Amino acid sequence: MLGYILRRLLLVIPTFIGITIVVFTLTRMVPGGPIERMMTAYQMANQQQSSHHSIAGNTLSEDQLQQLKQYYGFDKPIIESYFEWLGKLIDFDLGQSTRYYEPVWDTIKERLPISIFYGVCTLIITYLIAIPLGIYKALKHGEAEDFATSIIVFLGYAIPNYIVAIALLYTFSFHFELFPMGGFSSDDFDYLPWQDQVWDILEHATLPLIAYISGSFAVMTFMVKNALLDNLSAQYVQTAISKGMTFKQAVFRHALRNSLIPLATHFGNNISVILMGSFLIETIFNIDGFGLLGYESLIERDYPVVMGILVISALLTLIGNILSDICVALADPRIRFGASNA
Amino acid sequence: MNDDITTSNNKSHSNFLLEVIDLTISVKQGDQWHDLVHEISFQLCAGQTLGIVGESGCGKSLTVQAIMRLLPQPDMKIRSGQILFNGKDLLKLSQRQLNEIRGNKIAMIFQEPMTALNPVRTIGSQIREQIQLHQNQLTSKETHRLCLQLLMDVGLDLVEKREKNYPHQLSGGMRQRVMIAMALSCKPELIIADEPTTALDVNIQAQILALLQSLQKKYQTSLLFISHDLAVIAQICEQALVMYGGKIIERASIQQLFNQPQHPYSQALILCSPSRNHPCRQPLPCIPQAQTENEPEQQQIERFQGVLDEYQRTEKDFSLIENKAQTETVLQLKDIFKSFELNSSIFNFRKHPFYAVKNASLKLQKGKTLGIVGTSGSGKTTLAKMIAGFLTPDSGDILYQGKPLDRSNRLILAKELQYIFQDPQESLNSRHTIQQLLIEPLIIHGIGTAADRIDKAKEMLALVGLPDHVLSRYPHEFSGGQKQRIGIARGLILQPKLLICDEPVSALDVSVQAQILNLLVELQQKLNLTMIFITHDLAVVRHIADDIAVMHDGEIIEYGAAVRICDQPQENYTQQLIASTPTWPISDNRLA
Repeated sequence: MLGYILRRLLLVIPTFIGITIVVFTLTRMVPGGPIERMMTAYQMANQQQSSHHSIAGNTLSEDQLQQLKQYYGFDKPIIESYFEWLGKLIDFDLGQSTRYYEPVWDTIKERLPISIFYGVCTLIITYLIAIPLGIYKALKHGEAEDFATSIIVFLGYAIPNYIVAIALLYTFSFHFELFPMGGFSSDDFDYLPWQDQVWDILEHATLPLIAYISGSFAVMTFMVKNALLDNLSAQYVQTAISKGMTFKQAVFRHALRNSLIPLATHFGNNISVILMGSFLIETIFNIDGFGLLGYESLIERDYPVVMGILVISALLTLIGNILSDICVALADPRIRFGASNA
Repeated sequence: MNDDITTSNNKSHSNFLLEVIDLTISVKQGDQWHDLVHEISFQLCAGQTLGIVGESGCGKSLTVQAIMRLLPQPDMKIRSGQILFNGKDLLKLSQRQLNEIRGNKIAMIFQEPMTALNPVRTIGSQIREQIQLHQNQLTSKETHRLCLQLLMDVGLDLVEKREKNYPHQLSGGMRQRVMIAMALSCKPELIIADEPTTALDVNIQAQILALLQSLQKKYQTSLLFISHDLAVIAQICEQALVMYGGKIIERASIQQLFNQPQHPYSQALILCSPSRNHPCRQPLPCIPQAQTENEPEQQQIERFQGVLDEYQRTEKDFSLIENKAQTETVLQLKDIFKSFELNSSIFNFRKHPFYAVKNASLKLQKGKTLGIVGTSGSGKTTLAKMIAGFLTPDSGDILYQGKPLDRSNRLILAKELQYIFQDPQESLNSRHTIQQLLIEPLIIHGIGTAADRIDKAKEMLALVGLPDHVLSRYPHEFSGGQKQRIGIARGLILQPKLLICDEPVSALDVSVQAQILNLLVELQQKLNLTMIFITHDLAVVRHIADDIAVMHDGEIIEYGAAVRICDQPQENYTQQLIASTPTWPISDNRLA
């Protein structure tokens, strides 16, 4: 098992290098870049100013252009600049943001706690809802309780989470004024005593969390329900009952662990997905998280930030996959990766 | 109603451990309830062993599920009757009282130990759990010691290590031993075993039966043993019930049942399993299916009696009917090796070849049948798949009519040899009609016009004894035996010269098995087919094959005439195999 994990970790290196090549060429191949963006901005500013004057100096000189290219590292051949970027990457140097003029890593670091907070909360609450609800639905399969909860689950599945977000924001923040309109915390956050700080964050987080969860709990609930239903008809549940257990004991001591195996398979993937958030929800609630940062950087052609986010999310996915494998192996003794006693 | 209870209490003076009175079990079909088990009654005394034998659908499993109150709710119910255990009606117990009896006083052993044990918990924890459920006065140390003792009792070694194993780490036989240990853990008064050896190889089956027998004596428990296999019941039980169509039609001691069966169905059932007392390759008696669902009893008896009369009339020729003496060699295998690699991954460059077939050489003459016998994992299916071209041997030659056959060209191969699979359910595409299934090979080979193909399909159906009108139906509408007939019809439609049958009857009931065996023999003679017949059942292979190859660990260890090998085995392993096949307590001059 340990050997297997080690080998999987080693495999991360070539996969990661492959990803960096793709990410780098993608950003280089796409038309338009920070210089073009700056030139457009400069031209627009110039045009407004000099609309009454003669058209002069509305483009950058060749020298200035060369300087800019040098500044962004566009003057070197693509291969050379790739290796330069990769070399910096190994030192955790993701370069400078062309928008904020500060190191990309700092930009990302600023948003990391926010994303982790939402990611972890969503993950935990989703499991806390989906597992008990799935069990309940499986035990009440075909009865009124099952149908009633199915309506909620189907609604959650059918309505995109950004629509839920807008509806929540309109109803509870705008109409009833129960919750703040957005943001991660209030402006006077730093001056509040700690109890109020916690309350403030919770107040801000409630609606976005509901929006996040509405999208993710439906699939998971059905996964739990179906897995448990399958296992309830398994022979070993009959064995358990013929041992003298009540049905409930048979479910919780025998069927449940078997039903959680499919959840374990998905556990790792959730980490990357949830940490990266959804830029739509972040936009709606004005949360300065990863998703919003990635979206804005893309629009503004802030390639160092885009590349940094892509690299980090790729790394998270790779680690998530390994985590999934470990979870599955922990939950299911039949799976021992790379064991030689097969 | 009150009177009923008092009478049942009075009855408890008799020393029956278990008494089933007028039990009727119904299943819900749409809005209506249909009876599957009709008013059956039987008794079991303490310390007794009772077998229930019958074919699938006869209600034997439902009966024991009813005793344990394990019938699937809400689709099935016990419509009437009583099940008295030590004088108490199990059907009137509360859930709590029932849980105290289940596992504690009555324990159950299931057919398939792999699925009956929880795959994600160690076997030790599953045994200890049952002890803790019923004997909560024991400390965890005592429970642990008892668990190890039980594992030793059922013949496992290294119990300290074994009890930490998960079910998948044990072999099928060991898993069934664990199930037995679990059943015995609370020293129950009654053990119900539902086909506990059906999923096991014949040599493992012999071990498990011997174990059950010795433990039954040691622990003084009663045993209710369900099986479709008469020989197994004969091996382990003192008495047997024969069930048919949800009714008990005969109860007798084993000696009496086998030597003087009273009911014509019992007689027919005994006669239709191939045995030494039956001449090889001569038709076995066939039990026709009931025409109506609720056949009157008299009509049933007449039907079975007809089968017996018919069988008595046919002449029995014990001088082995030699298949027509032909010396043309159809198939020859020379020094075949086949290995599979275990554990190959991108990081693991070491290869661990596992030889599934080692140095196999065979010769098969035209119009004859070669039986390949062996336990699971002996390489018999791998060998057959190489002959059929599904697998390529590592080394060695497969000569077909003296020439190596182009195994890569399935079109040529398919015309020469065809494969019939074990499970007719899984080998027929359930979304195709019978017509589509049958004419597909003809389409692939571009044989005939559309009308020709349908004619051909009808011809094949007639050959296997099915009417024309089944063409438009789907596989799920047929019984297991009928599906296997369709499988055979499909195998024969290209008129192959060689037919490879991989356990074609082991998924079928005894009476259906007899029909399929008769059909194969008849077809062989009619079409001059050469057959390879793979099976684990020595009685079947003795009946149908001219020659037998016994395989063990990938090697052919004994090869020769079928009757010679079955009656005078030379090799140690073959002798063991034959010794572990359950035998019948039959005097030689019975019905025949």
